[in-house]
Amino acid sequence: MAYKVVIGLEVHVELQTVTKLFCSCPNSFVAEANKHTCPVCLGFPGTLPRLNQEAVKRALTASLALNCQIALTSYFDRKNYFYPDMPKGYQISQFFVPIGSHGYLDIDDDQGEPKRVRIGRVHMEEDAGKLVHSPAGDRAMVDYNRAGVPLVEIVTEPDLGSPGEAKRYLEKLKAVLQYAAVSDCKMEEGSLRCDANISLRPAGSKVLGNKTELKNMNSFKAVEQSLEHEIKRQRKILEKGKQVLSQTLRWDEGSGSTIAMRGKLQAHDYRCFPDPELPPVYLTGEEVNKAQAALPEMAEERAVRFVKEYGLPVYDAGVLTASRELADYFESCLVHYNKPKIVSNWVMGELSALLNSAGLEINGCRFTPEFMGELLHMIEGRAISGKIAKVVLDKSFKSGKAPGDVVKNEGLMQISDQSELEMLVDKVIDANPDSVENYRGGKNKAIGFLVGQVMQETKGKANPQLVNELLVRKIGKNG
Amino acid sequence: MKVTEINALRVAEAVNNREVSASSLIEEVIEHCKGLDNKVFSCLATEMALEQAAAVDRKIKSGFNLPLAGVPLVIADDFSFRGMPLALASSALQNYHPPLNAASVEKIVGAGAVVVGKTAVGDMGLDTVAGKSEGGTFFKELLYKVRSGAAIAASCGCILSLENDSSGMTRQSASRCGIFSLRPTPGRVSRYGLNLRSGSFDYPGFVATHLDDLAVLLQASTGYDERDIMTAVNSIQRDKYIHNSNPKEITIGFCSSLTGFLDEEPAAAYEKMYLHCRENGFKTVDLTLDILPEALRAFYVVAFAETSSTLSRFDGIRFGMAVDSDDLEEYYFKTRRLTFGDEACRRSIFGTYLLSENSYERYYKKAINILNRTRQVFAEVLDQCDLLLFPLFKSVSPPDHLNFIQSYEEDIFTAPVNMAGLPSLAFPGGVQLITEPFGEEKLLALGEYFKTAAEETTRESKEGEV
Repeated sequence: MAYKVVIGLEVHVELQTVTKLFCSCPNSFVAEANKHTCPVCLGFPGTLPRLNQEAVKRALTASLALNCQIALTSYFDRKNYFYPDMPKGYQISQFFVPIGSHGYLDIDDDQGEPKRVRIGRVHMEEDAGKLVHSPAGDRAMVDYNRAGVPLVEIVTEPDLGSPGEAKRYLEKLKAVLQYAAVSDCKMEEGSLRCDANISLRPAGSKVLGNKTELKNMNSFKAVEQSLEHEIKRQRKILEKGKQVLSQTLRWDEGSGSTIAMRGKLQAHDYRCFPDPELPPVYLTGEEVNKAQAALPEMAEERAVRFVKEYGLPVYDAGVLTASRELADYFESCLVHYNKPKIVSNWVMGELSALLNSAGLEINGCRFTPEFMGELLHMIEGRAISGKIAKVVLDKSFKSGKAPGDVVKNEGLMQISDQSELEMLVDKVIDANPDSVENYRGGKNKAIGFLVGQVMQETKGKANPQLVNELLVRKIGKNG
Repeated sequence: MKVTEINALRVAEAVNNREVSASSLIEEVIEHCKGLDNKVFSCLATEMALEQAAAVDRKIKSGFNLPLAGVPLVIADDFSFRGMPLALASSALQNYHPPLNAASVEKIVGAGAVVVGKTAVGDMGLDTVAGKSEGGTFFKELLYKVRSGAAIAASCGCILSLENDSSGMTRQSASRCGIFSLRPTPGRVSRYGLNLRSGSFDYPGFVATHLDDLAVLLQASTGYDERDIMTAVNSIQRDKYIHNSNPKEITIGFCSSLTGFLDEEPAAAYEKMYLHCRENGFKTVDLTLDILPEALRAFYVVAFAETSSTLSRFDGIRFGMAVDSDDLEEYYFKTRRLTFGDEACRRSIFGTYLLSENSYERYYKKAINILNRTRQVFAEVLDQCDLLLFPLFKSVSPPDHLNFIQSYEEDIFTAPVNMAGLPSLAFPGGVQLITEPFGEEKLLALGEYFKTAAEETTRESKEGEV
């Protein structure tokens, strides 16, 4: 039987702010446990939360960037449950009236057609601390550095129809939030976290199947894989004529499978109610309009501009604008070397490959836009060949040294000295009489082989065009 | 000069004029406190108080003039203050020494007052019963009649005290002790450092043996505090509240229908105060307020709900007693069962029920609607008068505190006022004066007219007893 897959995602994103949501502790990573804590975020008796207006601004920007309707008056509520990482025994969140609702994000579906994913709500809440287990494993300890860090939770409607769509939604969401400077959205560092709800129903049926909730996915790929795994698992159960159990499952990266955490039957009653210690969050229409106007150029607009302004192929523009950082990098390169398509080729090709194999993001890259400009100018000025340029890029990327210095230090300057090259050409002609004969006999391809030989002799440093010219001249002359 | 027999203003004057040193005064007060029932105080700040007093003396010597110089201050254990444990009569806070000062206390101390100790509160601060006394007969009697350690301490020679006036128990108790109490408008004084059980209602209340001293306390403690966003209201212009103090131009509201709720004695006192207003030339108007019973129930629904949530932080993880357990759920069960007293358990259980999925709409939501209506009803009543003369309690002696329902019912005249967020000034003899938000200065100025009448009323009733 054919089944229709129904997926909804809940994404938590840490907001980029100087301080925490309700106190003045720094909102930044620190290794020492419980360093960024104070009586307020530790929930000591007598302390009161004080709302960070910067967090409200970022949440407003996030809501607008996700095309949400904005609540001019929203509230903070308490979500009550016990867990050691939650100092107060409740989480301050927006349950009844979130700051943003009824938004959407457009993605491509599996057929490449545009698809609108509805976003039910965007709300502000505080993060919890972290449980740390002692090395001996005999006790659990709590680090409250993260407790009180501002988050927005972004909840989609169950509009996603496949793991691929889920992944594309996440990529798009990440790009949008990065563009809007709401969050750095680093899943591996926990500044973006994703839970997925998934159910299957027979195609054509309107009755929703029982859903399961997936947790503990540490990358977009893991989200995709866990969903694929869960589809298979649920399908098997349904095909046996059985019912899927509504439960929370933990994705186990190692075994590539899902493990039951707790049954939904024991689900909590969070007893949400308005927090009496926090006044409503008021926004004016003017503030909203201002935030809307201040939204930066998003990926799509930027891609369109790249095509129009720089004459880039649509494909290139799409790849380069996938993250704000990459697009910024590209445009910075243009300041130093204004040939967009050439820059695009190098950024998308060699540089991306190096980043991938090093597991780095563009902002962690030591090969600056200035270096890129320097490198491309050297190619253009024939100081190095394209082939050597790749070697230079690799060395410069790894060492952080300027490409000019690399070329100088490693002696990679292209050999364009005619007398030096003539000697080499003569040597190659003498050593390869067959190829010379072949060329004379009309096999033009043979010249390529001979050029290659010269290049090999010079470890790629010879100016290939010049070598070609010399060879043709010499072989032709002697014949 | 015997500090325990005069008022704070006079003490400050004497210390500022260097007639007497703060150190010797505070030493005297501490000795006096040691002689009081040991259940009244949860701790005395002997050394710290003497150090503070010496610091005040040094300041005076270098030319400072402090409005509360050398005045002893007693704070209920509801307030955090460095150097003294916050015990809340529960092992959930075992060995907890707060790393913060309550903003209100800090400000009053900044005006020269010296914290001499903390009065005990019951079970997580939910109960102001000062413990089951085994002390002298005087205190046995007082503790039977009065639920507030702060009121007892102030009336027994400590002059000034602060306590969480959540439901009005502090005002009732002060009145029963024959002294005065003020609950300011929420926002005038910072709540930072006051242990909140119910954020909607908990608020610092002032107790003093002399009416004048309440004005000094308010002045010393009011103002904007960035740690309590509610105090932002202090920056609004309050000029419009500058009032006329000519009785002939002032209307006093009175609710004659309420006397039916009162025992004979408080009813007589309430009526007498009304007559006193007329004799002094005030205009009077008879008003009705039918919402009280409903408001009281709503008050307790909201208070229970909020308290159940607020007490969740006492989970044995960061402070307090810890039990041995391999299982997290069991850990919570055990710790909370061992550290929570009867009242804390009651409010946690009822509050949890009131907020649960099936009762949220039926109880909590409804209570919030009543709360909003109560505010409106009081606002309408205050549109018709400048001051509202109101009873404080139904009977002179409170019901046995073990009967908790009756105890809650005792708050019928105070809890709704707190819900409405109105300032209230309590007098001896069981009456309070209420006015519109931020009208404290008006209350305190016009309170002088009522002071004598109130004191006469209590004297007569005491003589009647003899």
